[in-house]
Amino acid sequence: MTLQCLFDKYGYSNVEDDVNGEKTGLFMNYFYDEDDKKPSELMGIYISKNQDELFIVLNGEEKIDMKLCYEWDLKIRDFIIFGSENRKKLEGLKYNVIQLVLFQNDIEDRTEELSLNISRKIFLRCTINENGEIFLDSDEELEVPFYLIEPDDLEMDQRLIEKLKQYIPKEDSSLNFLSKIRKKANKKTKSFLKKEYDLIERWLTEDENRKD
Amino acid sequence: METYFTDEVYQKFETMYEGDKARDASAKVRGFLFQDLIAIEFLLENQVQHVFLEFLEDIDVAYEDGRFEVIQVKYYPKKNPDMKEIITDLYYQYLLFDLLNGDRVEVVKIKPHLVIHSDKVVNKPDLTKMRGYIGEVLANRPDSLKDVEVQLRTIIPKMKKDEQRQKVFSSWAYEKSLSDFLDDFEIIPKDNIRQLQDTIEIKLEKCFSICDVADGMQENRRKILMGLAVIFIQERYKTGEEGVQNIRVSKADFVDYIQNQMKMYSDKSIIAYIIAVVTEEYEAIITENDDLSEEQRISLNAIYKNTVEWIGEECSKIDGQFRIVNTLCTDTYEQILEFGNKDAAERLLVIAGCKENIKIFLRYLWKVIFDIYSGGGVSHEAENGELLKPQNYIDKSKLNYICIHFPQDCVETSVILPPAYGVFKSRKNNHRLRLMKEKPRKWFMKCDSKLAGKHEYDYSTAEIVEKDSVTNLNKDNFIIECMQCVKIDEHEWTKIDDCKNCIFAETCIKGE
Repeated sequence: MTLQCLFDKYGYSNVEDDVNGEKTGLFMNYFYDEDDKKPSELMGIYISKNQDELFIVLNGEEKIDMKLCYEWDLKIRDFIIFGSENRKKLEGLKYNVIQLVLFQNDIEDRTEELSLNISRKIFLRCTINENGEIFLDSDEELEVPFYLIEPDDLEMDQRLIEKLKQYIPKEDSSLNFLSKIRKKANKKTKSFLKKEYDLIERWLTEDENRKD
Repeated sequence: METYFTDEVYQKFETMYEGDKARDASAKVRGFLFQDLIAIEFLLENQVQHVFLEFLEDIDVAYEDGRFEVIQVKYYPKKNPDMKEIITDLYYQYLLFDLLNGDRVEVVKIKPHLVIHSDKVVNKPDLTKMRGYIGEVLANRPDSLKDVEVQLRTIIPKMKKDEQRQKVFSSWAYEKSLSDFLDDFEIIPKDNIRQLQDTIEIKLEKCFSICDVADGMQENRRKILMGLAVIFIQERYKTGEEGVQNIRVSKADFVDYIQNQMKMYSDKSIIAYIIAVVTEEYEAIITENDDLSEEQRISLNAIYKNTVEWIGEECSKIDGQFRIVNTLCTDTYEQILEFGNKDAAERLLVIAGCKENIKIFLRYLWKVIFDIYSGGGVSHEAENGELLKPQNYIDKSKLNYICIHFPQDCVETSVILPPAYGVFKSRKNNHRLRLMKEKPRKWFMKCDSKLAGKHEYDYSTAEIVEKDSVTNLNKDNFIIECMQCVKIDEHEWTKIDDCKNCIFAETCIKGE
C-alpha cells in the first residue's frame, strides 16, 4: 500500500495547498519558502480527522545538508505561534507534529531522528515511482504511529474463548449483592437481624485485607 | 552686503540680552517644535537676513530694511493666552531698545509681534489695558539715560524677572512709548502645527525646486527638504556657547545648506527623511490631543527632540539604518540581507517603504516613556530629564534590531513591532519571522488578546507544559503583549497608562 493510501485509510487528508486556511483554518504558507513557493522537499502535509495531529512528509534526499529537520522545526515553531486565528487548534497541534522523512537510499545519519525539539521525526525507507507514489519498504509501515496491524491477520484462539466464557457469571441470585435492597429499619430494636449479623461477621473475618 | 545691523546695534542687543540670560535657570529642552517651524517659515521669507532663536524673545528676525521683529510664539489650542505677560515682555524689549538709542534716531526699528495658534480670538489690548499692565508711567521721555546701559549690565541681571520689569517700567516707561508700542504691535494667528508643516513643505518645495526628480521620489524629496530644515534649526540649539553669533541663523547659510544636501542622495538624506517622519508623527500627536496641558506638551517636546537626536545618530551609519529596517520592514529576510549593499537612494526607498511602521513604533515608544515619566518619575529633578530620552531605553549591545529595555519591565530585552491586525492575515509577517532569530523576551505588538501571552522559541515534545502554568521566564520563552492597555489615539494622551500592571507585568490583565 502506498503511504498516501495509508493516510487516506486512517482518515488523514493532505492540506499542503490550503495556503490561506480556507479548509482548515490553518495557514499552510508558513511551511512555504520566503517567496511563498512550496519547498521542493515537501511531499505533503497530512492532518488527522480530528485536526489534532499533523504529519509533514519530506523528501530527505532533496537537501543533503543534514539540517533539513532543524529548518523545518523552525517553520513548525513559527506556524504553531502564528499559523492560525484559532488558538485552540494550534495548542492542540503543538506537541503532535511529526516529520516523516523519506529516503530511497540507505540512511547514513540518523542523529536528527533523535531530536524531540518542536516536532518528532521519523525516518523511513521507501521507493518513489514517477507518479509520486510512495511505497514504504517492508516493515517500515510499523514505524508509522497510527498504523494498526490488521486483525484478520490473527487467528482467534477458540480454546481461550471457551475458557473465558466459563468465568462470566450466569444469571442467578449470587449477583444480588450488586443491587441495592432497601429495607425498612426495625424501629423497635434498631439492630441487625441475626442472619444479617452472621453475614457481616463472615465478611469481616474472611476479609483478607482486614487489619489484624 | 550693506546692513543696518551694525556692531553698535548688536552691542545694544547684547546689553538687553544680558539681563534676560540669567533668568532662565531651569535647564529645559529649548524650543518647542512649533517655534522651530515658525523660524523655518521666516527663513523662507523674502527680505529676511537673520533669524535668532531664543535671543531677546522666542524668535527675533532681522530684515534687510532694518526692521527687527521680536516675536513671542505661543501654542495654546484651548487656553487663553496670558496677555499681560506677553505684553509686558514685549514692551520691555521695545522700551529698552528705545532708551539705549539715547537721542539718536536709529534706523533699526523694533517690531513686537505675537505669533499664536489658539481657538480663542485674541485681540490687541487698548491703551487703558496697556496702562493697567505696565503701571504708572512718566508723561515724557526721561532725559537722563546715561545710566540705563550701566544698570542693564550690572544691577538688573541680578534681579528676578518681575523685579526687572518693575524697575525698568517705574524708572523709564513713558506715555508715547506705550502708544507707539501698540501701533507697532501685531498679532499673527496661525494654524495648528500639522497644517503649519504642510504650509512649510509647500514653501520649501517652491524655494528649492529641483528639475530632475525620479518618479516615486517626489514625496520623499519633500520629506527630505523638511527634515533638512528641521535639522538645520535644531542644530543651532546644540551649540553650548553663548553669544549672538551662535544663536543667529543667516538665511544665506540656510539656503546654502539645503542646496548642498539636495545635490545627491546620501546618508544625510536618509537622516533628513527619517527626521521628517519623526517630526510629522509628533505633530500629529500634538494636533490630535489639543487637550494636553502645557507641561505635558513640554515633556512630549523633550521626548521628540531626544528622539530626533537618537535616530539621527542611528541613521548616520548603515548598521543603524539596518537595525531600523530589520525591526520594522515587511520585506523578507533575504531581501533585508541585501540592504547593506544598496546605495543611498535605494536604502532611502526601503526606509520610506516602512514609514507607517516607523510611525507606529514611535507612538508606542513615546507613550510608554510618557507613562513612565508621568507616573511618578524619580525623586531627583535632574534625573527626570533622563527618563525622557529614548537612548536610555535602548540596549546597544543588540546589533540587529532595536532592542528596548524598560527597567520597570519583567524582562531584559523587548521589541516594539508593527501591529498584527485584529484578524491575523495569513500572509506571513516577515519582520516577525526575522525577530524569531533574535529572540527578544518580550514583543510589544498590538494584536488580538488571543495571540498575547507566553510563547516559546524552543520546546521539547517530550515535556508538555500547560499553557496557564506559572512558568519561570527563561531564555526559551517570550511574551507577546497585546498593547490594548496602552492608549495612543486621539485624545488619549492625557490618560496615563498603568504600565506596571499591564505591559510590564508577567500576565496580561485581559488574558484568558
